[in-house]
Amino acid sequence: MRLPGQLILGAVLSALFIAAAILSLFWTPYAVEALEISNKLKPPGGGHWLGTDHFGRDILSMLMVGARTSIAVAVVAVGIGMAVGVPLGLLAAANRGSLLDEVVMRGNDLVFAFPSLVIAILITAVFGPSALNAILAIGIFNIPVFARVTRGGALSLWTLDYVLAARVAGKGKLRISLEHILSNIVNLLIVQGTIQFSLGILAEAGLSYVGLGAQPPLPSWGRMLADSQTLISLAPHIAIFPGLAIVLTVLGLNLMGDGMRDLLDPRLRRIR
Amino acid sequence: MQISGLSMTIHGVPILRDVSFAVAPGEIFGLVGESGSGKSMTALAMMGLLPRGTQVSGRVGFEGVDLLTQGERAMCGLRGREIGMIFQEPMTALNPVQCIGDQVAETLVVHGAATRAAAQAAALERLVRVGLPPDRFAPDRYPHELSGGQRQRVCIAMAVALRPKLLIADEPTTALDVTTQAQILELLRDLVEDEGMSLMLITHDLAVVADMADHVAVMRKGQVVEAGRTETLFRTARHPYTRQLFRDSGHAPQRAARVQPAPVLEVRNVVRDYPLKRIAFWGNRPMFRAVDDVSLTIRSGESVGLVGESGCGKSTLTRAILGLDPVQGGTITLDGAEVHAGHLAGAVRARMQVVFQDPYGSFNPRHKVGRLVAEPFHLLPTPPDDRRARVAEALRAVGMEPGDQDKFIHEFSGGQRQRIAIARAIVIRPGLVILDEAVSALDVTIRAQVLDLLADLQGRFGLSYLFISHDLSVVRAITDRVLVMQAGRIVEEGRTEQVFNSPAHPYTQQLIAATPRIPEEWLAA
Amino acid sequence: MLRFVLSRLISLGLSLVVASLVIFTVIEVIPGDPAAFMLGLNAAPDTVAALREELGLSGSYLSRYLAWAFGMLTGDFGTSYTYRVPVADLVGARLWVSLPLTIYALILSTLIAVPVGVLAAARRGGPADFGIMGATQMGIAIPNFWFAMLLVLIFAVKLRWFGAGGFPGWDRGIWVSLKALTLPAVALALPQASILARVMRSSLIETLGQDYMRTARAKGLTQRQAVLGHALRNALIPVMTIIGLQFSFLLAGAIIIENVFFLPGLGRLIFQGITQRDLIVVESVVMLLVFAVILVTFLVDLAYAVIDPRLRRAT
Repeated sequence: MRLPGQLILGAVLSALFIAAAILSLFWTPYAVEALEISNKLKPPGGGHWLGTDHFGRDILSMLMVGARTSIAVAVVAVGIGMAVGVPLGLLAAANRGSLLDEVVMRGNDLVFAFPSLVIAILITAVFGPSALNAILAIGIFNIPVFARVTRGGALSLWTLDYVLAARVAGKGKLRISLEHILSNIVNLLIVQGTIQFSLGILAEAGLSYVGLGAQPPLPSWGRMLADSQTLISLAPHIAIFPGLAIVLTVLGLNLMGDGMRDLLDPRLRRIR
Repeated sequence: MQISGLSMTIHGVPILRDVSFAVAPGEIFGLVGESGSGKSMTALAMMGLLPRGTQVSGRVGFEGVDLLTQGERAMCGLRGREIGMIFQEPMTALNPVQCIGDQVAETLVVHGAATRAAAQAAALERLVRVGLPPDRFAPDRYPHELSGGQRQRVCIAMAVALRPKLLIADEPTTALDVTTQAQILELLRDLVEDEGMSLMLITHDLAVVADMADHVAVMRKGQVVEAGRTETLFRTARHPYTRQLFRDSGHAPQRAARVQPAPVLEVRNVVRDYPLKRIAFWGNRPMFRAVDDVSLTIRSGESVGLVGESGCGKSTLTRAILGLDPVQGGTITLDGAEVHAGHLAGAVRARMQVVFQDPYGSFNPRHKVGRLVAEPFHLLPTPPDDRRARVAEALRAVGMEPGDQDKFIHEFSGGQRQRIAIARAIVIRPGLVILDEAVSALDVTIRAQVLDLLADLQGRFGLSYLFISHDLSVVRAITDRVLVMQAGRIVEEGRTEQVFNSPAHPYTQQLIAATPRIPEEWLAA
Repeated sequence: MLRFVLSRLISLGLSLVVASLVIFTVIEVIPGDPAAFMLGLNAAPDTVAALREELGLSGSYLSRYLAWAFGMLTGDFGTSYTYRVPVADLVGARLWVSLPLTIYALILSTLIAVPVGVLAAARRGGPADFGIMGATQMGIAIPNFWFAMLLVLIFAVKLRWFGAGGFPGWDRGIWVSLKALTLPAVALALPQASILARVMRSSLIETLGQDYMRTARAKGLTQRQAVLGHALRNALIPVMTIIGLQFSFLLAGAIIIENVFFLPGLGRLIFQGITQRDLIVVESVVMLLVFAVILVTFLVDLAYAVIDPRLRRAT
């Protein structure tokens, strides 16, 4: 089987980003807490490959730790979305047209009316800002996405004869959902998961940028951009590198998602 | 129209080889063959509408011009004006967001044959001609408001709007019910007579060709194996494939029915309603009575046919019998135990199994054949220890290899899959097997083999069959008794031969009259 | 059609009621005593009591909710705790920045995306398609606020074509105001246009493979006539869903982008509200945002019915 170029490129970019995040657990070029005011806003080169920020911190080190924050937020948020959304979608599809289905779908519509930023605003207003906010806000927004994808995929499978055959073999809705439905929408979920993962990274950056996400001193790409905003004309590099990190990571994940979709099922045209 | 030496490859794969035939003015020409024989590709080549990556050679002569050498612009002028075409699937062949009058008028407008206003008037006249008078089918209706047969009429109106010299009809009635099919074929025949056009009728159904065509060509694997005048060809088929095709089309398996008097299944006055889509947010959901006071009995070892057109309630009845949906009245008893949807004991359910129509949708593509066939063992209180051996036995019984257990379903053809579906149905030795259009998706030759298999299994295992089909000839071939269903009710019931030879109910008479048949004396030789 | 509109209107009303209940509960019930929450930890008890009185916090959950909901219906959003002015006035002034910005971006996004998507579909597999797909892939990956910062760096700082931020006010003239909104609108629109162009492309490609396209060609239409006459309108149906969804993304994006350009819009208001614990302002703005999203969903449903006759009689 020939792997498509975009899948390889996407996988390489994503792997780089994950590797940087893992590496940051053990080693970074400089400690991210190390302030060196005398060395502030150094352009790339010399001892600091990507330069230093306004406190003299090493930007590469901050990017590596920031990758960790992004991954953690996005992974947990996708996890929340899947853990709640997939069972809801399966249940709704198994009981199509029932009150349960109606409630799940209307609930979905309702959550869709709250963009993740609005959810984050609500949570922050009550509990104050934190990285947990970002996770919860993005996670809650992911629930209807996965519920919808799961229900849509499951509904088309429920009309197939093999599901009927399983019912004739005396299997209940729950068992059929797990044995016959779930295994056939895994592809769909993997692809959607990749997409939501990259959207999660974008959303986390946005929330941290406006101060609703990760709080200092925890490094995060969105916060780095927020800090750089007033200094951008003075030292463009402190705005450019975190932005590039986001773009390349999201690009990598999207390419990987599209590539997997083409590979796993060419008929599948899920569009976000 | 003169086709000579037409060959075609798509991305290097040969599709057609040296196809030659001629369609004379004013005649109906039949092109028959099984799926994948290249019939449709031939038609698309004639229209110049081939998919990308196609290489064509040979000659498609139309009034002295080779269409294969014509440019796209010239072909656009020809399509719709000189050659019209209609397709198999009327449900999707019309633009869903444009009203039917405009779609018919477009043929005229695009060829500059009329102004917009004149085209509307002409479209109206054409719609009347195909049997859609404006008082009942206003031209500002949308396709979704029409039935399949009515949509096919719109397609015909579109194709003949400019009175083309040739109409190509690619399986025009395959997706339609038999009575609708008869009406559409009648319409096509009338159009040929009235307007002096030629009709090229592409179909897999030999009876339709026998009924309609003046000349026939039989295709197989991209080649024309035999051609000639219809009656002559049927009477004196020379090519072995043609002969086999004719033989299999009317195939009736040898059956040694040993019917016991004890009933296996008893359906008493069953009523099944289901709620329709809510018309409004408020108010009650309207109910639809899909099965209305139906009773039937199947005795041990007996084959009973249930025929009717789409929407008559046969599938709903099947689901009720299988205990998948609750009934709103009446009782269903299987071997003396009552069938209740929802909480049906495994032991009762194990007495009946089912085979579905679609050989592709019937299996979970992620499981191996062994697991698929073993699925009904779920009904037993404890799974049998010799699961593999029993699956192997069932596979052998349907003519498959025991080693096929370890393969995935996509490794098998449609006919093989249907055999595996039968293996799944018999693996726990049920008393009753429901065959829901089980051979309808199969080609003639494969269908004959599967029918033989079913007859053989019935004799060996003493099975009872409930054979549900829209295809009267198949039902006639394999059942002892037949029930005719219309609009949720059983309108006629009796011994198969008797019902077919002297139908009592007007609907049955209509059904049988509408079914195209090859004249028996043609095949006698 | 009337019945369709009516049933949609009812569902619109229900969504609004449920959404307002959720917002009200989260903001006013979960923190315990909103008055104490708004004043912070060190507030004197009698100050808290005074604020409770002022906010109308005495009374049951239901009666407070009803008072709030009916207040909003009559345009009374309450009084801001920090600004000491009616919230309706605050919101009204800010809305005239955020809403035009969102609509500007939505128009830009649609105007760019539809032709680009059609071009890519028409040239499927060719270099134009490849280039468009690559560019849109990039466009999706770029965070709009970072893109906005780059735009400021290039067009405001280096080239000095635009101001770096701020908003003159509509009374200073439409063109000046639109110019001030242009960079933010572009920053908002391009990532969304990338998504929309891809949807347009795949939707059109899918319609091109439909049976009725073959029918149209068999009638004698050229490929171009068939695409324009039959495929495009059908392909627009899924595109409209996405345009509707994008409205909420753009509105949320506008709130973030306003920070980059120092625009006095709802975004600034809501973040000030959060830092100053002005719950009434936060509550009102959130409700307004959610209302806008629900309203747009309703409008998209209606547009659906206009474009697709199959939906006109269904619920």
